[in-house]
Amino acid sequence: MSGQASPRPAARGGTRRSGVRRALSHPSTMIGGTLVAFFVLVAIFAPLIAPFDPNASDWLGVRQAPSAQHWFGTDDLGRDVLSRVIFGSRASLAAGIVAVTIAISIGVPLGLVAGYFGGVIDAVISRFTDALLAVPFLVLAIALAAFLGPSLQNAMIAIGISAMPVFIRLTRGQVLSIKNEDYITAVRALGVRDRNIILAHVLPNVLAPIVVQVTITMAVAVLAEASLAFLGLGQRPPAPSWGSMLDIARQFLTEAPWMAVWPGLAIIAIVLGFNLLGDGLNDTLTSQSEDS
Amino acid sequence: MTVSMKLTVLAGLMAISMASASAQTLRVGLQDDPDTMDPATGGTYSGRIVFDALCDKLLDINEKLEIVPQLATAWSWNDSNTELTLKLREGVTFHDGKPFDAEAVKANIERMQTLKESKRRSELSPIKQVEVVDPMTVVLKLETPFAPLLSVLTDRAGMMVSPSAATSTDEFAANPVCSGPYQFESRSARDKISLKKYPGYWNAGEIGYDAIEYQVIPDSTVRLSRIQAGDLDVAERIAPTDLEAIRSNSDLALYTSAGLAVSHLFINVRPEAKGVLADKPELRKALELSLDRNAINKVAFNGEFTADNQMIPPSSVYHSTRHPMPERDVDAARKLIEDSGVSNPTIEITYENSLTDGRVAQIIQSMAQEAGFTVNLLPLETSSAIERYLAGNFELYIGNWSGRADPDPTLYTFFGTGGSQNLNGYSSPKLDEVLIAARKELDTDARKALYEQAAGIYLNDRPTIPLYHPTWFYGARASVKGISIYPDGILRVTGVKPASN
Amino acid sequence: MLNFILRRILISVPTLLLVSVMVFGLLKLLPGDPALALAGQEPDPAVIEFLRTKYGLDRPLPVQYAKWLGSVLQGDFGLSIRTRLPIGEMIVQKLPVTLQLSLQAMLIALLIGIPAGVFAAIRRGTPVDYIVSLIGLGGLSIPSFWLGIMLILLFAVSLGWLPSGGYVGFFESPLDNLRYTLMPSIVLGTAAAAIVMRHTRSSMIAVLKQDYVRTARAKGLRERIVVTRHALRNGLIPVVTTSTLHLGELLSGAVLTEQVFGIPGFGKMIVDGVFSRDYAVVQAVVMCSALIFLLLSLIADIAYVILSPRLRS
Repeated sequence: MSGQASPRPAARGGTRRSGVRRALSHPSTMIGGTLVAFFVLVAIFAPLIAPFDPNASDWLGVRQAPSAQHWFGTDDLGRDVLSRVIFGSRASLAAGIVAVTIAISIGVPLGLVAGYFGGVIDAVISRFTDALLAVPFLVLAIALAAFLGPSLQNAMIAIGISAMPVFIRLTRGQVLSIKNEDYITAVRALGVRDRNIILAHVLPNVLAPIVVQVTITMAVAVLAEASLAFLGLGQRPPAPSWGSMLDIARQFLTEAPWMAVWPGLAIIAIVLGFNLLGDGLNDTLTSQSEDS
Repeated sequence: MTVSMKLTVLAGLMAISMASASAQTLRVGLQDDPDTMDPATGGTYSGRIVFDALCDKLLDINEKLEIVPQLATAWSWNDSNTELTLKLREGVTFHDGKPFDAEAVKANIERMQTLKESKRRSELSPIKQVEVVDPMTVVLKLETPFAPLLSVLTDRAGMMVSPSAATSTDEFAANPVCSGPYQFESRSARDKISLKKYPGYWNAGEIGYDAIEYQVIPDSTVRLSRIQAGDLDVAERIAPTDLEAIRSNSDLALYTSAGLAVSHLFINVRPEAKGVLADKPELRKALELSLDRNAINKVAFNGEFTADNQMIPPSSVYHSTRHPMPERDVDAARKLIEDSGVSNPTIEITYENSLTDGRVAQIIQSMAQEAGFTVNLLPLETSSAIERYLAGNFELYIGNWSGRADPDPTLYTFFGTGGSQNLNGYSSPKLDEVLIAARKELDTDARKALYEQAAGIYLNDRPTIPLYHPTWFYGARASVKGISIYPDGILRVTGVKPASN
Repeated sequence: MLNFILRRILISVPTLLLVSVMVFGLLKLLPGDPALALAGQEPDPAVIEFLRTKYGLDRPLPVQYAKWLGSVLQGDFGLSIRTRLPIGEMIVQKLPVTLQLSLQAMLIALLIGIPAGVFAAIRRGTPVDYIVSLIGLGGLSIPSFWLGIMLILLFAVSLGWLPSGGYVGFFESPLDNLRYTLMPSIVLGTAAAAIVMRHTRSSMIAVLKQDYVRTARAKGLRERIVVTRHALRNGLIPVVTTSTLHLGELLSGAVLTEQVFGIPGFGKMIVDGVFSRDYAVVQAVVMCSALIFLLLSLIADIAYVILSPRLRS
C-alpha cells in the first residue's frame, strides 16, 4: 500500500526551476494534476454542483435505480447517490491533506535530526521508525482509529501517524546522502549554527523526493480513509464518505448494485490522479538522467 | 518454523479435515462467533443457538411461550408459592457418561450462583436453597414467590453441565460437557464449532443428524448465497431484504417467528445528565410523536419486523392492548416543543456502530429534525459504547434487548429502581410496586392486569421509546425437515431430520 | 555473510521489543477493555470487575507487560479472553489460511507483473508502454475492498460461478478451497501485480542499457534471446527482493480482503481482536506479523547479496 519514492540525488540550484517546468509538462503530471484539480473543484463547489441535499432522505424513494432524476440512483435511505459522491470528495481530500500534513510535520523534522546529527539520537529515532514500519500500515491505522473513536478527524490523525515513519526514513536517507558533500562541510566549517544549516542548506536539497512522497502518500491516505470508513471507523453518519457508502452498499449488492459502483470509481479516479502526479514528479524532479 | 510447530500446523490441518462434512452433517450458518461455551458465562445469542444442541435445560418453552418439560418432567409449587419441586427425567447421562440426578441439579445451580464470573447470578438470586429430596426429586426454595423462575430455567440458567467436568471455567469453556443431543468435538475461533451426536441421549430417536457444524459467517449476503449454493443447510438471521430470494426459491424454505427482542431509544433522565429530555417529559413525548415507526420498519427492514410502542412484543400475552401505537404527528410535536420553551432542542443519540442501528439512527435523526429537534449521532465501537452505557454517560442510546419469555426480566431490569439495566436513572415507586406484585403473582390473568398497569405508567413517563421488535428469519434447504422457530429465536435441533429419512 | 545475518538478527530484537511495548501501550489506551467488550447485553459490573482481576487488567501496566513478555518468551501466548481458547492454537489455525492467500496472490502478481513489465520496458516510450504503465498505476489505485465487491457482484451474484465468500480448508476439499480462495487471491494480487510490473519495468530499462546487453546485441543475437537470456536474469534481481518484501505487505492487505470475503484468517483475527479488545490476541497477531515482516526483509537482503555478487565485500 505504501509506495516509497526512489531516493535519488536531488536536483539542485539552477536546475530546480527548469525541473519544475519539466515536471509540469510531463504527461503523467498533467493527467494526474487534472484529475486531482477536478476533485478539488468538486469538493470546493459541492453545494453548487450537487443536485440534491446529500443527507435528505426520501422514505418513498429507497434504493431506486439510476434515472433522469437521480443519475446515480438512490441509497438505502432514499438519498441521492450522485450528491453523496460529490460531497464524499470532501472527506477523502480532507483526509489526504490533514493526514499528510501530520505525517510530514512530524516525520521530516525527525528524519532531518536523525540524519544530520547521527549517533544516539539517530539510533533511537531509527529503531522507533523500524518498529512502526514493522507493524502493517493498516493494522496500525485501525488500532489508532479504534483508540481515538470513530470520526473523520480521528481517522485522519490515525492515518497521519501511520504514514509518518516513511517520511522519517526517507528524509534521513536523503540527509545522509548529502551530509558529507563539500558545500555542507564548507558551511559547517564556517561555524554556522546547525539549525540554520539544516533549514537553509540541507532541507532544500532533500525536498524533491519528499514532494514526490507527499503525492504518493496522498494516494495512500485517501485509500486508507476509505478503508477505515469501510470498517466503520471513519466519517460519522449522515455525512457521506466513499468508504462508508461502500460498506452500506455491500449489504444491497443484489437489490441495488449501483450503490457500490460509483463511490468506488470515484476513489479509483482520485487515487489514480495522485499516483500519476507522483510518478510524473518522480520522473522529472528526482532524476536528471533521461531514465525511466 | 520449528519442526514441532510444523507438526502442530499439520495436526491442526488434519483436525480440520477430519471434521469434514458428510451427508449426515447439519451445517448451520451463524452471524457471529459465540463467546464462551459455558452456560454460566456465555453471553451471546449465537452461543444460545449452539447450546441448544449441546446442553439440555431443566425446562423449555413451546411456540406459545408456555413452559414444557425437558430434563424436569414435572414441577409443582407449594401453597405459599415459595418452593418449586422438580421431578427429574430418568436415565439421562452427561456426555462423560456420568448420570444426571438431583445432586447434579444442586451442583449446577450452586455453581452458577457462586461462580464469580457467572452471568446467571442475578437470574438465580431468588433461589435461597436447593434441596435434594431423592435422586430424582429436587426442591428449589425461595424467600418470596417469584413467578418468572420457571422461564429462567428454560434458558442458560437452566442448562445442566456435568459437575465433574465443570472445574475450571476456562477449561470447561474450551471443552464443554453437558447432556444435550450433541457433544462437543472441536472449535476454531471465528470459524466453526463442530458437534457430534451423543449416542447416549435420552431422546436419540428424535435426533436426525450425525453431526452439526456451526459455521461463523458474519455477512448476511454470504450466508444467503451459501444456502443457495447448498454449502449450508440452515442460516440464521436472513436479512429482511433477502427474504424474497428465499421465498421465490423452491429449493429453500423460510422459517420465521415473531421475536421477543426489542429495540428502543433509551433516554437518560438523570438530573445530572443535562440533556434537554432529562427533565422535560413533554419533549420526550414530542420526540415520540415525531417518529413514524412504520416508516422506520419499512425503510430499515423492508417492513418485515414489527413496529411497536412497547417493550413487550405483541406475540406475548402480556402485551398491553389498551395502549396502541401512536400515529406520527409532527404538528403536535412542534406544538409541544414550542410550549416547552426550549428553542431548537438538541439531542445526541449514542449507538453501537452497526449498519442496522446506524440506519435506524439516521432515520430517527431525519424524522425528529422535521419536528424541530437537532439530532447529533454518536456511533461508537461496541466496547466504547458499553463503557458509556454502563456509566450512564449518554443522552439517548439505541438499546437492543433480546427479551425473555417472561416479561419480568425485561420490565424490572430496565424500569425497576436498581434494576441491572436501569442505567438512565429512572425511578417510579408506583411502577416498582406494580412490578414486584407481578413477580409474586402466579395467576396469568392477574399478572396480565398488573402488566397492563405497568405499561400505562412507563408509556406515560417515557424513560425509553420502544421502536420495533425484530422477527427471526431462518433460511434452510428444503431438504431439511422438522425445523420450527419459537419466539426466542433459537434453532431447536430436536426433530430436525434430513428429508430422505 | 554470516556476520551480516547475525547483525541483522540482533538488530531485530530491540525492534521487536519496541513493537511489543508500542502495541501494549496502544491497546491499554483504547477505551473499553475485554471485560467490557465481553459483557454484552447484560453487563454485570461484578462480573466485569472479576474478569479484570482474573486477567490482571487491574494491575499496573509495567507488571502486565512483564507478565505477558514472560509467558511469550516461554512460547505461551495466553488465552483469548473472549473464547478462552489458546491463542497459539488460533494462530496455527489462522496463519496458514492467510499464507495460502498471500502466496496465491504473489503467484498471480508474478505471472502478470513480470511479463507486463518486461514488455513495457522493451517497448519503452511507445503507446504500449504508456497503456501498460497506466493499467499498472490503476491496479495500485483500486481499493481492494471495492474490487472484492465488484468481483462478488460479477462472479457470485450475476454469474453464480464462484461463492461470494467464506472458506473451506484445503485438506477438506482442495477444489472447493480453490473456488473460495480464487477471488480473494485476485483481489490481493492486483496491487501486488502492479508493483511487480513497475519494478520489473524500471529494472529492465536500466539493465537493457548496460554494456553487456549492448555487446550481446552487437553480436547479432536475436532480441528475444538478448532479453530472456541476458537481460532478464539481472533485471529480476531487484524484483525478487521487492517481491519478498511485498509478501509482508500482503498480510496487511489481507485485513480488508478477509473482511470482504468473510475468511477466518489472520487479518480478520486482527480486526476482530481490536474490536472486541481481546488484547492478548491483538498482541500476538501484531507481534507475529512484525516478526514475519522482519524475517522477510532479512531474506530479501540476503537474496540481494547472494544474487548480486558485486555487492559482496
